[in-house]
Amino acid sequence: MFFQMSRNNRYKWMGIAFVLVLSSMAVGQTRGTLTGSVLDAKTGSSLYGANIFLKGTLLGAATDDSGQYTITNLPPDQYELVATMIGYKKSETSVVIRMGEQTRMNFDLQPTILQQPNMVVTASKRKQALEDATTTVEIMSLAEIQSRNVTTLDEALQNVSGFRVIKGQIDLRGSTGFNWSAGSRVLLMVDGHPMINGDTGGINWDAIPVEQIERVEIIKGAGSALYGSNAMAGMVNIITRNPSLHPETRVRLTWSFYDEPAYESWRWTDRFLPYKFFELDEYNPKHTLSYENMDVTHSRRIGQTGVLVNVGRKRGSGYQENGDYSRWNFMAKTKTRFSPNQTLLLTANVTLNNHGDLIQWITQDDPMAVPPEELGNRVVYNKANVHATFQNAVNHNFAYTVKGNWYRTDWQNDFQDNQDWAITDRYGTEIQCDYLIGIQAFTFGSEITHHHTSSAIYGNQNIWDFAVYGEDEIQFSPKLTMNIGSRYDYHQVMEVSSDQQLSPRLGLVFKPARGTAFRFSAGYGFRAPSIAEVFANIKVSGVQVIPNLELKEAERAWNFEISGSQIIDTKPGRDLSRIRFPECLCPVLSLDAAAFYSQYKNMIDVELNPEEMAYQFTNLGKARIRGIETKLKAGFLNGMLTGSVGYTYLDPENQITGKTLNYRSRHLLVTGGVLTLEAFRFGLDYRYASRMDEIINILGSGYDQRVPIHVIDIRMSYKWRNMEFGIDGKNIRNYHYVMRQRLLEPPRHYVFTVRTHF
Amino acid sequence: MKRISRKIVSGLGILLLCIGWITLTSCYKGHGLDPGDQLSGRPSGIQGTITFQGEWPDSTKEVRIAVLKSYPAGMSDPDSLFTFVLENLIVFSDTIPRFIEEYDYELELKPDLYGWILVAWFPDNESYILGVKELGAYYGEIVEGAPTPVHVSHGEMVEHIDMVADLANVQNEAPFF
Repeated sequence: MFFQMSRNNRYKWMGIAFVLVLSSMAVGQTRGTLTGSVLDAKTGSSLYGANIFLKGTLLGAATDDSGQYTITNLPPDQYELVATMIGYKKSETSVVIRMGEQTRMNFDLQPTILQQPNMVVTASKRKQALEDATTTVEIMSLAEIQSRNVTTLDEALQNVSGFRVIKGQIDLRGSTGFNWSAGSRVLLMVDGHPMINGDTGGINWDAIPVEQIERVEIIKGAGSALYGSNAMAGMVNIITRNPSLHPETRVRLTWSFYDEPAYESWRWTDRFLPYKFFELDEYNPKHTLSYENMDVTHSRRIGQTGVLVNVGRKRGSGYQENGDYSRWNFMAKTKTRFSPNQTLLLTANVTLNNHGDLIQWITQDDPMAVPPEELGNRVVYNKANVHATFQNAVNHNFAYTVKGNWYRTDWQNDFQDNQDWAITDRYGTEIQCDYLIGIQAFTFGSEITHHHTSSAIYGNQNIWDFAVYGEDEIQFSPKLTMNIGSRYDYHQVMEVSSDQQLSPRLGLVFKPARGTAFRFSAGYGFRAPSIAEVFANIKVSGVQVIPNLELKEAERAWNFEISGSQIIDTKPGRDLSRIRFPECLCPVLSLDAAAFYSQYKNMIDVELNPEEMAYQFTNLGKARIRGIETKLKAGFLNGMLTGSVGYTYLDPENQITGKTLNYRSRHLLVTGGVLTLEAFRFGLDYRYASRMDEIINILGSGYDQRVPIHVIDIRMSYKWRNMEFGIDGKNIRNYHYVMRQRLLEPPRHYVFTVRTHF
Repeated sequence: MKRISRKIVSGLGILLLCIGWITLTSCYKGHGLDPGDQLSGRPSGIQGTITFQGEWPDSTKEVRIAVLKSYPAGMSDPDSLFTFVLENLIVFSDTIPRFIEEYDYELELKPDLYGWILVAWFPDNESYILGVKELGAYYGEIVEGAPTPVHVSHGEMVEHIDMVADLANVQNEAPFF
């Protein structure tokens, strides 16, 4: 085309291009660059992954593995520059950017006793200071997850206050209880992409790459105003590690074995370890109830792209009959930086799982054995997902993000009495824009999701969701910030029903003094029923579940929260590198308290349909969940000893029957402590849940199996060079309990872990 | 001095950990859920009390507990009802002593969900099944509408399946109704 132009036209276009190039060079010369390094003030070592951002703009960077950062294309001005990192005090300084110049600003971050992160990305769908979030946010860091030596994330999350995972379902502040793995009132995301099953609306924890997690953000409060269905009671966002810039390999090996149960009549096999442990000639690890886990990750930079590849292998016998499993996980993540302000993240994850299936025990006399007609039942359950995120900070006050994701679940039963199967695809796309103007920060966007399932128990079903949302954060002063926003959702179950919802939200945060914050939030949330809740037609273990095509109403709820937080440093301004005994005994305390209230309409739960003699999901009607939550964290001895206590009181009521909602405990307590002595680290976790008031009589009324839950985990680790050795005793008191009837939780077991990187 | 301080601090930390450990572990005793001695060796089924009301008719041949898979909600035609009963009947118990006011029973059943558990009355002047009448059924806490289904699980004898048998119901026309 160009070469077909006349000579005059060609010169004209070349001239225009020349002017454009010159003008862009001129723009470059009218802008400035900011670079620098971030170091640990105590050790002087460079910090990888520290966040640097210019306050009041959308511009920022993260440090590379040599602790360096660069932000380019900055308009000349005076900025407030902020550096943050988990485990370090936030640092702020002023910087002046001059035309065409490179400005250098270095940070020496002071370690803090409390491992409190400063930045979160989930509460408002964009990066913001933790103290500016209008709802309670709890963070679980990489160190906290790794120190517990878990193989699936849900095990670690049990130690978050007000948080329980009941047979895979998240029960945040009593929101869900247990709904037979169908539907979740808490949205689970990985890097901002939903990871909710397209068919059941449940969560597959084995598809979460636990070794690749950088941190987990837990938002306790209505999130439907930004995230729509499933986020009506909160969100859990798993932030995964970015690829390393230099070649790096990480390896984790785990071996665990199960101790014998407390009662002789429960020893359904002689494969519990203590039977053979001291008879070395007879001992054979292959015949012991145990599991093994191997995880290998390699990361490096190829050109402008950081690449991370992970392979995980886990297999085990389980502790019950039919409890064995064999799993492979494959993950790849790339991060390409086209320019300092443009990045593309691509993540692919495949999980292959072949496991035995245990729906219920045979008797309470023999709770680790299955009924004979279910012996040998197996499930092949594979999952695959691909996430893409493109972020572009167009200038210092406007940025946009484009997301696309696909999540497939594919399961096939191989039961004595059924061969059910389902293949479900979830496709999602989203455009999000962030715009800063003066004291306001706008976040707005649009989202389209399509679920398609083909199944022996659901039939062929299609669901479409369309949403637009917008939220404005107004900072009236450094002390007072307000969030106001709403989201419109349209939900269409093809050829069955449609529904729509407007979900508003208002949030306020008031910070009268340094370390003090008061928050208020009110939001409307909703959850559309999942494919399983509407269409499931299945008989398992003698229980028949039938479809409910009348289940057209989404469940809805108003959520309110008032909370406050206070950080008390009894020795303010301390420098951890210098402080000595006895000053080091002065603690740093962090206290959080919240009161919350949720009023549900059309809450969905499973009920017996006496006419059909089968169970089905129905709209229960009105329900209310209210309660209080407190959490105290403390650090002593320059951080050598840290501990936390979190208590949650719940009052969950079915307002139609006047009874407590099913599968809810009124009292939840989680405590934990870590003592670090040179290269040794000792840890202890204790969690308590009071006896559930009500459960649904779905697997027999028989005898009451509900007991309070008292679980203690202890652990010890030792670091030597680039290796770490860990020993964990899980459920060390060998306390036996069920989370739902007729399914025993793991007895005492020991976990040995070795981690290394090179 | 530095070394002494470190030792004191370390000792103090371990002491705190021990105190915490003792505090926590002393909060409860035992191992939570236990095998439940009452379950040992017991088969699955139901048990409860039948309370008889009214006058016993002289025409009483026998009374048994009947267990049916489901309840014929909305059905009124006697022929259809009779067919339904034949198709859904799981078991008749052994005969219950006649001319009494109360009877404690225990009935073994396979693990399953049962929609209609009732007390069946048999007359001595008609054929075995055509003259059978329902004296009462298990309704649980809610006595209106359909009877309450009972789920019998492996190895568990479901207790308190209590029924009220009203002998005036022998006057009803349709079998079982």
